[in-house]
Amino acid sequence: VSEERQALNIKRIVVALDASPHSLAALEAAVDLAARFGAELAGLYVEDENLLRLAGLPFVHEIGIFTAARRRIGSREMERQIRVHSRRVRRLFTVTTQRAQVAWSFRVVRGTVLPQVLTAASEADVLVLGSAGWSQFRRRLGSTARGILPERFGLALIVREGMCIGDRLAVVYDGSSTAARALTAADTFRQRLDRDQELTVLLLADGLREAQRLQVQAENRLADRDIDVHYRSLRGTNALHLADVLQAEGCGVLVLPARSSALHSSALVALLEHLNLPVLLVT
Amino acid sequence: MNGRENVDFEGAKIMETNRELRAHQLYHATDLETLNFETTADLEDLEEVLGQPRAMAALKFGTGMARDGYNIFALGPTGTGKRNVIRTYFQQRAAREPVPDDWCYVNNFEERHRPRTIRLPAGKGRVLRDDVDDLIEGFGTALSAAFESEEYQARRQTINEELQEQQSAAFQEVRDKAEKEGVAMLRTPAGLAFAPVKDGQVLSSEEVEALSAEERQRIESEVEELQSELQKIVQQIPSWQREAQDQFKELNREMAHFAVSGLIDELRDKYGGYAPVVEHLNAVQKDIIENARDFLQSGDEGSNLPAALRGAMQNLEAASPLARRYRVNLLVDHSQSEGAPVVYEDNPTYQNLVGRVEHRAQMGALLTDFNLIKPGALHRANGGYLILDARKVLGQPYAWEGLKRALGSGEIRIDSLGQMLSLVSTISLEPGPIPLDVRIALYGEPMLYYMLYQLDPDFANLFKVEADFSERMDRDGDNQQTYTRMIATLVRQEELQPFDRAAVARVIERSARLAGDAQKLSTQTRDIADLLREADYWAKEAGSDAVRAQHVEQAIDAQIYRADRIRERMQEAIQRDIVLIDTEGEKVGQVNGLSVIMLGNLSFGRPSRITARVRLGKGDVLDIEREVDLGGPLHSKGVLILAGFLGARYAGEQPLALSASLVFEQSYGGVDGDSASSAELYTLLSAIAEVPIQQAFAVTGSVNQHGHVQAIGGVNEKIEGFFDVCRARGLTGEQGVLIPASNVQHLMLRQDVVEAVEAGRFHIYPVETVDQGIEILTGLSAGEPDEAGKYPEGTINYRVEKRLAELAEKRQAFGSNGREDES
Repeated sequence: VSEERQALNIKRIVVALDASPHSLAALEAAVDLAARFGAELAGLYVEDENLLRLAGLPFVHEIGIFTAARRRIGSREMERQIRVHSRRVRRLFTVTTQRAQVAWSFRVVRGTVLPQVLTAASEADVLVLGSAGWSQFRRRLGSTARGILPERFGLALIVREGMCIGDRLAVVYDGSSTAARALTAADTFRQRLDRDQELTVLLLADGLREAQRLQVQAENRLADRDIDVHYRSLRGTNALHLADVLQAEGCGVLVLPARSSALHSSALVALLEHLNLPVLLVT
Repeated sequence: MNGRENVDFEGAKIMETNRELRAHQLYHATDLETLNFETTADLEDLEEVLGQPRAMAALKFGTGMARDGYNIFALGPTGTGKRNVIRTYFQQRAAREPVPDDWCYVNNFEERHRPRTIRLPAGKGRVLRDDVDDLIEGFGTALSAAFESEEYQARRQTINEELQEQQSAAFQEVRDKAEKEGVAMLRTPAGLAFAPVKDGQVLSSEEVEALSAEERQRIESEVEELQSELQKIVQQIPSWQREAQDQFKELNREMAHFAVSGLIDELRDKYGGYAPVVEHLNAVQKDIIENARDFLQSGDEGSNLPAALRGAMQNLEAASPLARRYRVNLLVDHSQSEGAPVVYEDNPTYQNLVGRVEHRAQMGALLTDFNLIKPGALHRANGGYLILDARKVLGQPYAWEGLKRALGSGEIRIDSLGQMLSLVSTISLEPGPIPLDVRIALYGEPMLYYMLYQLDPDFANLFKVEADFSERMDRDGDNQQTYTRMIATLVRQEELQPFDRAAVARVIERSARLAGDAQKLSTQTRDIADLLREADYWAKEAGSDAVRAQHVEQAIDAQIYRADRIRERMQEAIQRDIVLIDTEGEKVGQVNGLSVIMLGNLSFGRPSRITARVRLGKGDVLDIEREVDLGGPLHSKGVLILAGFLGARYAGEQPLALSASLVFEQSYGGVDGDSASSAELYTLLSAIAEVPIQQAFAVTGSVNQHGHVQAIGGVNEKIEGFFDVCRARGLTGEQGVLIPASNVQHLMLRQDVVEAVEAGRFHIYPVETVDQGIEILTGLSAGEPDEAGKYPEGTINYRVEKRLAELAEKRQAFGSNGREDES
């Protein structure tokens, strides 16, 4: 418990990039975080092996996203495309980070995207990534974001196009150990975002009694912190309802325990797809 | 030769006193009895214009004649008050005439480069402009209210959401279908692709090879089908987007229509009687409904310029885009006018006359629109009168051409000079022309009028009325009355102390002197006004409560003294015998001529020594001035006339066998005019007859081939010039000046000259013929021919004739001896 209650020390943030609009929003958010925490920012670009394989299949064609033109692409051309792409991502990354004057590094690795991202995330304190690599699916969670939900590695900030980090935090609390860590993370972030802001704790409980129990628990956990807390109880995890509550509270970041009894993964995905603010997943 | 009974004896001294002018003839003083007032304060203002009946008739005709081309050119010397006269006259007329219409320029939404004109009754233009400004303000509020309304936001979001859903659903469908078949849809750097997967890994070509032929076949056809399907979806996206765009537009139109129609309807009712205004309001409504969204600067649809730059640009632009597009540019505003306008344009450049289209620099580019159309003097004077200085108009490039074009075509068309000359090539406007109805008065020196008339064929068509201002007027009883009132008016206008009777009399006398004629008065009111102001100054200096004659005198003396330095230097040169002028004794072949020098405002006389030498020759009179190009053509003409006179009178029957040379001694600057020709003739006669001339005299006057002495200019200055030399040396009582008799009427001599004549210490002789003159100069009789044509012995003419006969004989002797080359 004591470990859980210690403030987190965020020194290294990794951001996974693919030059999609969502990933650019993620980059902005990551730079913002790195600047606030004084952390090093590591950019990661994964040269997707799947794409190279795909290029090897003679019957596969690429459909142009704007032109709808059908093209056959060979392995060599795919290699070149990926190289060009990674260079572009690197340029975007350096321009953005240099503007914010944060310490940075940039790495290009080859492999399958999810494992590479997870590997990189394990070496960092926070992983930041876009909600999807596709702009065509505006709200749908991409495969990489989906892929990290069942993993347990720490903190992941998921950002969609048009989102940026707000000053006010909300955290979902359901009494689980992940939720306990979520409280700690929320407090850590609050100190860096705006220490005078109230923290909203959303108690995920079935009934009033349960809610009261959770509130007492949470109060205990936050007891020795100098913090204003505002409690609200949530009945169920209806995504639209939660979105309304968050908007009413004026929250800018939601800290969400990824693993809890009350939030199973399909509900989590629905939440992530409907909320209009960056979500810090505690896995 | 009539009236010469006193000189018919040989060598007789002549009694000049008979012919000498008396003091009262030298200065035509104003009779104080005719001035029936004490000071100018007793006199009424002068309403009419002084001494310009001809010009006033022309002005009246030019303004009354309501036909094209009857514009006025007022010509006359500077200082005659042309501009004021015209302006006052125009203003009097204009006050009774109707106020002309207002003119506005408004945006032409169909053809942006051709702004449209709206003509409204006087004062309505300003009302319309203010109404439209209010309307625009109303637009701003109404539009932002409409577009920020929940309704609009919700409907807009719905359209957006619909589009997203449509796309998303279509992709999702293909993706789901692919997944079912074990195929993944993957994002490549440039597009999308389908590939068979197993456990999240795309199958490699080896793995595909390893599959059964049937399975491979199935996957391939599946991928093929998915690809086609995806292609169709991607192809459809633009049309979905277009649809959404159309929906947006329709929504915007609907909102804008709702927001602005009420506002515009109000104005349309108010201006129901003015078809062009209603037409314009309709166009505004149509345009704003189409473009309303563009005027609202919302965060998501701003320009793609960086924010800092956008801010800077907004600072540069004074008005919002909404205002710039719909505002009324009130070009001519007569809301404060009474009567027709009378405009004087002091700086008549092309643009100041016909108006201009200004440009605004924005990001290094020059932009313009109808708001930047600025009126010219023609716009302001339209329906009234415009006064221009002809010299200034001609001095400005293209101004004269522009003025003529406007008058000729009867409309004002604003053409950019830069564009016309291809100096700038930037976006420009062709504002609709405005019909022109204006009466123009140009004023300038007569020279300009005559040159324009001669050189510019359009001029006579456009300026048919010639208002000729005279520089002098008759000095008679009525005019003197008017003149005193003019002086009184000036005194009051300039807020001077009143002038008493004697002072006014002195001013009138000075005016006659300025006119150079005792019988005339100067109408150059500028000079008179100067004199009045300066006299007032001296009166105040002296602590006097009214301006008196001595102050006027002092003002005149001070004027002369200020300009006098060079005259003084010349006088001094004569006193110190640097310039040789004799004022006593007698000399053969030498006489004092008189010339006038004009320097700025001052003219003064100066004596010059004229000498002649004669010798045997072929009959030519050599003008040395001309030989060295120091003499002008008029001077040469005078000398040739002398030769004509000599030959005809003395050598009718024999060859004129002399050569004479004439020279203006110590003249280094050139001489012109024939006023010295009588003096030259006297020296020549003296040289031929070898009779000395009295050096106490100076001579002026031109002479014709019959020996008559004719009038010259500047007689007063010439007399005074010689008087000054003599006075400085001490008046002997012998000295005097010979002037043409016809110049006596011009005499307005200085008081000290008049006094000297009165005291018999200086003499002025009017002379009609050369014979009269030579008698005075030599003291000998000229002599009249008897029946045989012979002159009495001892007379000048006798001596001349005798000498010429001798020369002719000698010449013949030379000729028969073949000693002279007759080539």
